[in-house]
Amino acid sequence: MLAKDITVIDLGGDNWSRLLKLPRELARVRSAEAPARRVLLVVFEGLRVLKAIDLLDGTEVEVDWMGSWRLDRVARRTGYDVVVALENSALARVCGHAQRGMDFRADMLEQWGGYLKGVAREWRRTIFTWPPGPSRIPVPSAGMVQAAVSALVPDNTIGLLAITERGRAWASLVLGYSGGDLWLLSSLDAVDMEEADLREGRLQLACEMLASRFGGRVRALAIERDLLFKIASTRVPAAEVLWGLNSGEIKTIDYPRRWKALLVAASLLGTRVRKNGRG
Amino acid sequence: MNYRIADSRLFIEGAPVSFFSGSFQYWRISPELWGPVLEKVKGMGFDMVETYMPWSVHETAPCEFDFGERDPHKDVGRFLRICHDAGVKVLARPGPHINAEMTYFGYPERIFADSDLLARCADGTHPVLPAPPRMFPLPCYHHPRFQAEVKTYFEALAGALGGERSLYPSGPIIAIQADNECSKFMRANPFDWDYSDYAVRLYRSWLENRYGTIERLNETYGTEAASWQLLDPPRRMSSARPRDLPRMLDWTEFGEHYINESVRTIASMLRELFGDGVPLFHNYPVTLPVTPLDMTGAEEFIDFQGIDAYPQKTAYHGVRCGVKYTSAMSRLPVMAEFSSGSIYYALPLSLQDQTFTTWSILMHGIRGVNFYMIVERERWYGSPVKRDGRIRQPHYDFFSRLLANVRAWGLEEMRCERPVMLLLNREYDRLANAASLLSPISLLISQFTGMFDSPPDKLTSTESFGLSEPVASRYLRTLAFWYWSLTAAGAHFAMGDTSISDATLSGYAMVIVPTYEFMDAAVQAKLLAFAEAGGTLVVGPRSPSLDGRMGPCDTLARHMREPAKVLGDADLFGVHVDELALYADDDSGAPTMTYVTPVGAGRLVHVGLVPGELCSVEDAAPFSPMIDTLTRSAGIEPAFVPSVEAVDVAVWRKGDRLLLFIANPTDSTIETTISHSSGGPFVDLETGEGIAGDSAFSLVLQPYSIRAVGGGAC
Repeated sequence: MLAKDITVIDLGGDNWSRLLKLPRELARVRSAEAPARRVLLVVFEGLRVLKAIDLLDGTEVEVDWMGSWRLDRVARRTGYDVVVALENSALARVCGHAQRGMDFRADMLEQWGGYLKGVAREWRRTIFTWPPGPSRIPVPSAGMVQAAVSALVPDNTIGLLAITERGRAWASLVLGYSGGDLWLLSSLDAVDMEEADLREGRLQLACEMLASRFGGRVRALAIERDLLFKIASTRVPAAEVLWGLNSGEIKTIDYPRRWKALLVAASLLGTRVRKNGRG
Repeated sequence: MNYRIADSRLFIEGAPVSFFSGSFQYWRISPELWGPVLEKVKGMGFDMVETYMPWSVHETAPCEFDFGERDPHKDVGRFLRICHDAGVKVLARPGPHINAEMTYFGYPERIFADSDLLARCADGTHPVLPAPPRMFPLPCYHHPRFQAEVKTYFEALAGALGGERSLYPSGPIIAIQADNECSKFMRANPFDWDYSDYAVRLYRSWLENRYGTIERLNETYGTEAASWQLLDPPRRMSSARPRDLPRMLDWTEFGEHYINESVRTIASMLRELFGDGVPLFHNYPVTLPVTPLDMTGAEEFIDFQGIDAYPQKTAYHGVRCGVKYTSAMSRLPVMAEFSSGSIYYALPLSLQDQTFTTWSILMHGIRGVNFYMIVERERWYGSPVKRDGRIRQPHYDFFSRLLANVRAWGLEEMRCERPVMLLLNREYDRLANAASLLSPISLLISQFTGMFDSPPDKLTSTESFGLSEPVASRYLRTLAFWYWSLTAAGAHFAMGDTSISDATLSGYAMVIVPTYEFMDAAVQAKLLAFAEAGGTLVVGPRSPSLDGRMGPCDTLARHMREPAKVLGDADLFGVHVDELALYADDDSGAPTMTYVTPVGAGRLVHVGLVPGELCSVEDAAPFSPMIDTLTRSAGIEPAFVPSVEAVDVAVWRKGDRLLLFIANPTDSTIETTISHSSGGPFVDLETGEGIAGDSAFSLVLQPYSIRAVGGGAC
């Protein structure tokens, strides 16, 4: 899934900064209407509370602790929406589970899977939450995830995501996928087009240059930044996506149908009925 | 090579070195571009570069190496020749740990296949570092076979470089790093790892060296161990009475020995291969190298050390704290890695971040910087020089201006004026690390991830561990109280820890150290000697009645009083404090929270205040008058005090030359007045414009900006 010697190259300076900031900015837009959920973290050992803190500001909170099985009462008395209670050894135990089966040569996805399995094993043993969540955490095998990714991404693909401002590249991401592995992480800086105008056939030109530089088949999606923020903030993102595809604010090149279906499905799933953002 | 370190500067062949360097990783750049790219680096004013020399890059098979014979990218000898010919000095970093965002951090993969060489957690598993693109288990540096493997690589490398011939002046190397960021990979909670056989052997011999006889150890621990070989380290923090603590604190302190012995081993290999004629250095991955890092101990076998930081502009106080500490504790305080661009998965740094944080570290006492990376490479972005030699003009211009200004203003010859020393108490730091919740979280991890940003004791247990109060948690709050209060009052202070030497301590007029019920006897004696020699020692809130082994000790306590009254959850100057002890005033008998006891030629000041959560200058501002009174009573006159508490001023001098750095570490524009008694005239060193004002001058400071103001002959 993640190549051992993944090539991370020519990310650009401003480009990568903008790209890394983007998820946070989009999340801010998306959650602007929703009130922040207050989370209380309780670290305990048996019937002793070692620390209870508000996760947002880190301040200490007094709790009336009756054991990990009465978190509902802690939530009610303290007024927190979410309570996470961790036995003091919980993280060490999760690490222990992961480390016991860790293969340093294995794919990182599989390695992270070890930690997830560790969390699943400790779920409701040393890790508790209110609301209580599922009774067990299902952990898909790395093979299943790999198979799903391989089904979605054609082999030997170079994917280009360009976020544009009035047609000019504002941020870009180039990913290479081959033989079941993500092997390349780059940007339009790789072909000296970090802030290039991508209108009038130049997106196609960028694809050709990327193909010539990295090999593989380049599949591109270019989207106007304004539209991206509209999609993030609207209650019906699918409408904005369809608008973008028709108006040219979203451009695609050699874009597989399954990705288009995925794009539409994701935007439909993003539909929000209520104003508080919980769809 | 003749070298010496004096006045926080490196002198080679008698000449001072302008310690500004940039990272250039030769094996990641096309060899034909080494020369042209180096010229671009020189164009900014750098005459020094730094490079790793990774084991995993040069080792092609066990005991087989390629130093350019097959792959020209690996021709490190040629790279050094090009540097030497270009008049560029080199800081060499051969590892074995290098990180550099490389898969497996520069260790050959085969090392991890031998489970015998690996460290162990308390539960017997191998600790893993979750770094992309592959997590890997951590090696035990004390395994003789691991050491032999490293030595084989070093011998091959030294052979390829020409050993001592690679050193200045016959070669370009002016310093060598003895391993990199040795910190137990920041998984530094004492009960996390290393419980491997060789680590436990080292622990036993360390105990034997410390206690001498098993009977003495048993007496301290309250145990009945029959021999050193039967001693097992504790696997979790557990203490129900003071007597249980020495075993916990010893194991925590052993972590410091474990790290320093690792570095010492690497250093002695390098000495053997390169001789004594080259300074060796080391660096830490956090800005405030608290336990298990031990700068004082490390300088017994290396020449200088520094810290690494990749801060955003909002991290001003975290960086300031670390720089204040490092600049007081290291012989030659350097930023061995300071951001120039970013690691590909880290938060992006803007040019404003770069500008503000770079001047911040110089303002507070860093005397040398290696900008990592000055030449961009794979898995890095945003450096001033790209891999192909093209430049990012705004960044390039920033570095050019930076070096030109530092040299033009004579900053490297000046000294930062700081009459006050705030001491971290190493024993309480150890206790706080042992009391860190949710292992493997440690003080270092918390510092690195910002989990401790505010409040300082966020993930520290409030358990008392058999003491009369939760010392670990309260200590961290007390330290934060002093830090923010001194800052709010505009006091010029350094930071250090209780391992500081007597000679260094004697350079300060006032020393502040938090004290609780136990404290190492030697440290108490050192602090008392400081006061007796004429210094002002500020202690509290408690009188330490026990030594580090929990035996009775009243070295300081006999000069301190019991409170007449203790107020819990009190309100002081409008700020909540956990506890306030009141003492009867000598003259009037009225209750007071501080009193002064003359000791020798100096004084001991007891402040009986157990603070609450103070997390900012604004929180601490009400305590400014108290700090002002304290410093004045120690004979320290306020100098260049800003009218706005958030503004920070550092004063540098040499002879009649004065240089002020005035920082606005907030996101708002601030108009401030700086009062002074120097008379002026002053000049804005960036613009050359004069600044009027005989006893005070006004400045408008943009958000996250630092102004340099010259006075006297500057």
